Amino acid sequence: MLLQNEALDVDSFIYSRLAADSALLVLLGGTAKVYSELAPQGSSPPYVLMSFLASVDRNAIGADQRIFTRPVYAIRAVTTGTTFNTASAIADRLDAVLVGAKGTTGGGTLSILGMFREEIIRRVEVVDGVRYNYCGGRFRCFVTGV
Amino acid sequence: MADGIQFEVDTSGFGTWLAAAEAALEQAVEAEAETTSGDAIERCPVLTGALKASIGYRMTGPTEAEVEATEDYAAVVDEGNASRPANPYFTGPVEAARERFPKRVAEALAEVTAG
Repeated sequence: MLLQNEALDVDSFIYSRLAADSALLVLLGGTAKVYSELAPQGSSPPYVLMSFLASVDRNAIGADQRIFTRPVYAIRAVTTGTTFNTASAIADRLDAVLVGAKGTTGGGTLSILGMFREEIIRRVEVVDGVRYNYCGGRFRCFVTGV
Repeated sequence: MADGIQFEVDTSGFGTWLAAAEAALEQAVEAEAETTSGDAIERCPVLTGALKASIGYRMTGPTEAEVEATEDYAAVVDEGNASRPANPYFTGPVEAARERFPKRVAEALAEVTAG
């Protein structure tokens, strides 16, 4: 049974996986610039931004009512510049690290049964004359209690 | 020696059932699209109202519908970007629809079968 709001533990699981990938760290300039929801003010790309979007629970009748939940996240590289090259390279690492990831969250209360990419994210925005590139995907986790 | 066994399958009513099932599916699809777009409209943040006004659905076939938000920044508001957090007014309802729609279809077909 899931006993808590699972999203923060899942955030930590995703962060720990990404921060442990040395190839990704190289692409991010040597530090684990992986942020949840918002990058700290003044952060300069490249970095990875992950946003919790939604989660649907599967419930049953009985003591262990919540069987599992399936949160979906937008996880993407944010870069600046005229091409997608760096963003795409980071997105490749996100895919390599996250798809198929499974394990137990740091608190030991949740089990990540698997992660899958459901959709590609690729978008450009121009803010104050600066081109921002977003490249990554929507990733879904299957989460249950330990 | 035992008598043989014989059975017959009467499909004369199948065409009627199929037509009723198709009509029920069409209704279920439209009802789901209406519910999903309504949920998105309800959750949509409002600054100018343009994004909210751009949300709607349309039937694209007898059993197909599209729910959409047509403003250019619709996806940015939903997923967030470098300077604003996600506000998943659209993804949330879509995720709920994934769960709800199969049940809606099953119930519609069960009603047709029950007559």
